Amino acid sequence: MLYPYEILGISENADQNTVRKAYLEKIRRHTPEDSPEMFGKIADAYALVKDETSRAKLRVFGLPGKKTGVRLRDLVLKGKKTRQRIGVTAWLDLLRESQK
Amino acid sequence: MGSRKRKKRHYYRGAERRAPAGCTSSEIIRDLEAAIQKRRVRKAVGLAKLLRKSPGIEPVSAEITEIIVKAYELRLLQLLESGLKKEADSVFVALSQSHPEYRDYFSTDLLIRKDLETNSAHILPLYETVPEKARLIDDYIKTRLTQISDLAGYTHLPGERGLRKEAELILLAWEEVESTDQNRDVYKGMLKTVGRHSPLVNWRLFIQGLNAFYDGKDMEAKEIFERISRDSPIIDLAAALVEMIEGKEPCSHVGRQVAVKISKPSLYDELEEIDDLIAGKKYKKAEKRISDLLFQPIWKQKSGLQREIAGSILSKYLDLEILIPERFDSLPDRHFPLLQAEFAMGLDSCEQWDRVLYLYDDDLTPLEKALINNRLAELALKTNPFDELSFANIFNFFRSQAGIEQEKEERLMEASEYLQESADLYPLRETFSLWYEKTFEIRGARHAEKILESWHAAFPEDAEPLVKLVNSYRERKVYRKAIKAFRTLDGIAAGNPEVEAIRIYLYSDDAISYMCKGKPAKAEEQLAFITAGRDVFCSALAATLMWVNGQMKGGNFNPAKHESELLALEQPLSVYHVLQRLREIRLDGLPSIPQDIKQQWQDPDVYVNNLHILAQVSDPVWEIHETYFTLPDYCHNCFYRAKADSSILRRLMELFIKRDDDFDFPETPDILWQLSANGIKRNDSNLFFFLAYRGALIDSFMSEEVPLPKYIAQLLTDRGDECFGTAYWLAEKRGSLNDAAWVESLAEETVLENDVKELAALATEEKKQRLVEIEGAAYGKKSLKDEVTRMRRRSAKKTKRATRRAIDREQQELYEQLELI
Repeated sequence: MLYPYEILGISENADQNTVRKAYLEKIRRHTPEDSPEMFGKIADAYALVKDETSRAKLRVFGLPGKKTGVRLRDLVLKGKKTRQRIGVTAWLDLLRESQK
Repeated sequence: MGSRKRKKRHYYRGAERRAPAGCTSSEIIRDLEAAIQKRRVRKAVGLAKLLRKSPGIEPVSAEITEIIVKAYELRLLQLLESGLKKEADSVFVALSQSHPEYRDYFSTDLLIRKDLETNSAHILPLYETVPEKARLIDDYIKTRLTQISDLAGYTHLPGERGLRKEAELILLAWEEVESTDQNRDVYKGMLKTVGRHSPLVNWRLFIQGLNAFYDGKDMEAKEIFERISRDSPIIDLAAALVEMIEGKEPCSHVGRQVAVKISKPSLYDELEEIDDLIAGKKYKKAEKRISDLLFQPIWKQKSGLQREIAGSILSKYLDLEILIPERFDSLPDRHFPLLQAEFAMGLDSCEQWDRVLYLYDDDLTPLEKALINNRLAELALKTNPFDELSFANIFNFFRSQAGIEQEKEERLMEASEYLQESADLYPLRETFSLWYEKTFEIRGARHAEKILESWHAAFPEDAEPLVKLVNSYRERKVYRKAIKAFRTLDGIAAGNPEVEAIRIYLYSDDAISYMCKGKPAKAEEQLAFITAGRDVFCSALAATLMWVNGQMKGGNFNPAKHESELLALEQPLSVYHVLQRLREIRLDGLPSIPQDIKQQWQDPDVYVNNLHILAQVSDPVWEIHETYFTLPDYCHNCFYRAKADSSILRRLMELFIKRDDDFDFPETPDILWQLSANGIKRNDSNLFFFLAYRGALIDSFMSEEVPLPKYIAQLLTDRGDECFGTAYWLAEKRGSLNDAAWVESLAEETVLENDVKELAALATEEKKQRLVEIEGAAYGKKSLKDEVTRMRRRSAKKTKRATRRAIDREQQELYEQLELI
């Protein structure tokens, strides 16, 4: 799961309202006086997912400093699924093996 | 000595041996059945022979014949499985000849298999003529045939139609599917010929599914494989492929074997093979190998290794592109291997993102595509290669300059295409903002206005593009458009402070426009709408325009009253600035600046404060531009004597540095020198800033290569170093990392010999105080040049006095010597 979603405790498909609710709840529990470090993390995480454009940027380009995000990774690794062709002889050998 | 017991020889070894006396045929039969059951071929055959020759079995019953044949069947199977096909056929032929009655007892399956594998004609040729046999043969082919190549090569069936033809087609189609050639003619022929009633239909389905599997059409492949009959021998292979599609771990031996073969590692061999293929000009095959290599799932989770490997593969692919460029123009899929390699290498380039858009046009959402286009634009706009100018001669300089401009223009054009695409897909404010900024920078306001208009069209409720548009029109003096745009802006953002400020400026623009047309009455109407507002400068602007307009209008205008109003504002520089601007637009009949106003700006406090007000004007028409703003004459040491807050002095220093960082105007270094001295003597929180710039000013002076006596040069160098060191020390003490970093970066631009941090280590409170006294001293701090001149004169006087003393002493000694004589 992407880091900002983990911090806010929501799924990556969460809508605008869910994101905002989660953010408000988190900062209520982690105030700047009581847990300044956590508050900072929550604020930074929210900035990365606060609207649709930010979320799309995170998906496509990843966290700040990175060049590509999960979206590209999933597309590229899914790919066109061209597999290694092994040849008729190899298949027939496998078939023979399977019948033993 | 004991006798060796002779090993008992079993009676059934060797065909010639007869049964020992007392061994009945029933015992042989029993043993034979057991041997057959245990598949002990040699024993069974031996027993069968024995049984045949056994006198007790005459006449040979059907049951006995059956069991004898079973033994020989085992033998035939053994020979076939060992690949001894000729021998198997020979045994059968010999048996058939010696015992023709055995033929009817041999199983059909075995005979079919034997016929296929030995290309003999004992049962298969009956396929065409005997329906009963045909049915059995069909059944065998459906459920037990594993080597379709045998059927395809069986010469005793007609080749132009029927089973053999279908088998041949299947084999050829399979070869086609296994090749990277896009041609599928035979495959298509197979689909037409091998119908669903054919005994070879499962083979056809397997080839179909395999074709889809290789093409990555997983759902289609899975659906086809699931149609294969459960009793077909090919089902195991199909099931293994379905497991791969579903991403499951293979659960059978053949499944594992299939997975290994399809995702085969061994990169070294592969790269070598590719090199050989390229060297042998077998480019198509080389391309196929490269393409297959990139998709090896074994490299998942091994990002570092994958990156290196992708790099090696990418270089091969690029070799191929150079060798056969025409091939890659037509193949859309040529992009994908490159993209995978680029992705694995973590590239972030125009080419990569272009490829992403091309390959995944259907998968990406409009917003994602818009963001990628924005990224493409950013990459296209990155620093051009003309970073180093050639200063060898003027010709090269201007040529390089022209090259830079050309390059920027080309990059903007490329970026604009991406940004237009982005805006069309999914309008985003950041798209327009980037587009406007870069267009303004490279092509100027007029072109940038078009972008603002598009921005406004996409986001009609946004004030930002309208504000920029109004200001742009104003600057270009296109007042009608400015007013029209302002009316729209007023409709959506009235009351906004920025909008109110623009309103005032717009009225003043309008008034000036009327004044230029010789319509002071109209101008006066517009000026009546101007109120002071938040902008202090606006009061001076309005008052000055009214004064000028009043002079032009004449009538019952009271100049003295207006002049006293102007004086009361205490903004003589603002008045000067407004008049300068009006002079530049060639407004006729401009009055001269009143003497009282000129007198007013001789007060250093008024001068500096008013300059500060002007420095904060952010209107594009009225703000101070370095191109045209000139200071009126100011009094001696004005900038040193002013009592303004150090933050104002700092602001002014920043203004002058921004305005003239190359010191093209001769007064700039002097002004900065005075301001820095004034700031230093305050000894407050901004001290570090003034000391740092002090050091920079000294360095700048030294770099002018004015010949200086050695000791003065050393003195100045030490002073500069000390200023920087103390500045850094103070910034660090404040706890501001940004300020310390700023001092350090400023020091790096100088010829400072020592590291600023090392100098800071020597700083102390006492040194700082001493520095404040020296650098902030009140005596005649007009400029550094001035100070150096005084230093030279002082040094000359000292030298003269020292020389004088030396001469006097010499004379005295002479007198003493003379007295002695």
